[in-house]
Amino acid sequence: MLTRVDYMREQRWFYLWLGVAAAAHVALLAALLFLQFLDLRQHPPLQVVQVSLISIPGSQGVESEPKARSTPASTAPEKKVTDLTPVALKKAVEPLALKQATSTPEAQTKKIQPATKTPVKLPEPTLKSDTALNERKNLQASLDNLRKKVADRTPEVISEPSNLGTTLANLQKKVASAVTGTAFSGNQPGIGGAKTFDPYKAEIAGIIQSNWAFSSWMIRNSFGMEVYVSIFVLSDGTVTQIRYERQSTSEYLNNSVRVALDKSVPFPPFPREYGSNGLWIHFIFTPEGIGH
Amino acid sequence: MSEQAGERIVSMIAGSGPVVIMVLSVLIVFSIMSWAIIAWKFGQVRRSMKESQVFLDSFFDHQKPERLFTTSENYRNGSLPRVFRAGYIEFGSMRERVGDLHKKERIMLAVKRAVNAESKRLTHMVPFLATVGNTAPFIGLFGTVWGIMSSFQNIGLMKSASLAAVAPGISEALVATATGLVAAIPAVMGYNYLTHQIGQIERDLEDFVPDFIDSYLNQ
Repeated sequence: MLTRVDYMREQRWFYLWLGVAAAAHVALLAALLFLQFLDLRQHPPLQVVQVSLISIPGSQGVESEPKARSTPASTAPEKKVTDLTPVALKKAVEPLALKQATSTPEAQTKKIQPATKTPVKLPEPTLKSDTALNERKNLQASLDNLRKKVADRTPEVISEPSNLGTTLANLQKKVASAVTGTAFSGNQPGIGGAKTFDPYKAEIAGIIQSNWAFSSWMIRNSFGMEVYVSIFVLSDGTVTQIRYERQSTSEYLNNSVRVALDKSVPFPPFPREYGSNGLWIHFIFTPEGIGH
Repeated sequence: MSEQAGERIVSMIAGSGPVVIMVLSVLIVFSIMSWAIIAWKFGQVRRSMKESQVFLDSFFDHQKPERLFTTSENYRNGSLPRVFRAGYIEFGSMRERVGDLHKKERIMLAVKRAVNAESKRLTHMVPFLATVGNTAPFIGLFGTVWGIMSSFQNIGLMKSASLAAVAPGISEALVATATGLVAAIPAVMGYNYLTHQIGQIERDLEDFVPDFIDSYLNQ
């Protein structure tokens, strides 16, 4: 039979072991945390200095896609031809123009020339800029110029084919063939070559594209599937800032973009022509590909 | 960086619902108690077997109850010395009563009572290990099922069935099952070991009780 003293002694032993077990569990949890810490030290995350999430595209940032969206409203009074083309057509014009630009260097230089001559043509579009200012007073002057250039270039692009119908058919074929959106497919040369073809940006887009693991089969509907990203690149190619101007409704797309950017940095140093101050590059990630 | 490491686990657990957190808490308490019982009983059984073995050596050497009783006082944790002491105390009280015909039965009854008490002492709280071993995986599974239910509800709200939307919720929920297994596996192993050892001690007690009684009566 257990005496009271024996019983008390047994209980004391039990409580002692209970304390030891609790301490061991705490130590185990701490060890787990420490192991994760070690794991992170061995495989440090790629350096992304600052990420700010902004739901509305920034004023200085996104150039191509938001502009394309605003084009129907702003260019409507400027060009009759653009009135006839739906938004899809405007988007699709870009790859065609690029193809032309990349396939024939002469054509490219031809397209570049008007862009460089634009300051000369400024007096003509000033009237149009007045209308633009009436519509949106806070629109930046640079955006106006670009829009005017787009408006100037559009007839050339569209006048090349025999008629509007065949152009539309060609473009729809292009869109239907699900342009994989190589980095430079939806580019500046698109809507009339507002900017010249930029090999450095194209190279960066190519790097990101190669690191971008994304399957469009995972996305059910394409509504809102656009991620606007602005990246500030220094002259040596390091990225100091990544800004997500707008994120898509799909976490999968957002994460894939984040991972692709993490894998892609640092970029190769950019050419001397860009100066040494750094450069903002804007990308649009869609299930079809990357545009900048 | 350590904050990031901490955040991984902490955010994973904090991201779970209250039911999953409650399940995790219960399982952690189960695990702590299981380990405490295993350690406590392991020491108790080990001491008991060791002291019983030493006492048995003395028993076969001396064969004199008085000296054996004195020796048994040194082994307070051994099961055999305890039973021997109980029988000897009963024998001592019977010696004063001359002409008692049921001496052997009385001593045997006292020894049997001591054996039962010893068995009860050794098996105290051991069934809790069996309970943990049997129920902890199910409790963990319950937490996982609940977590997955919540996760699917969130997926429905997000209107996205992508892997990125599904995987984190399921991963969080599976923590409960993992914790259940972590609590159950040592408990089952400890239970099997302890029941085997306690069974051995009980068999030893049954084997040597007649020898003890004979040694008293041959006095």
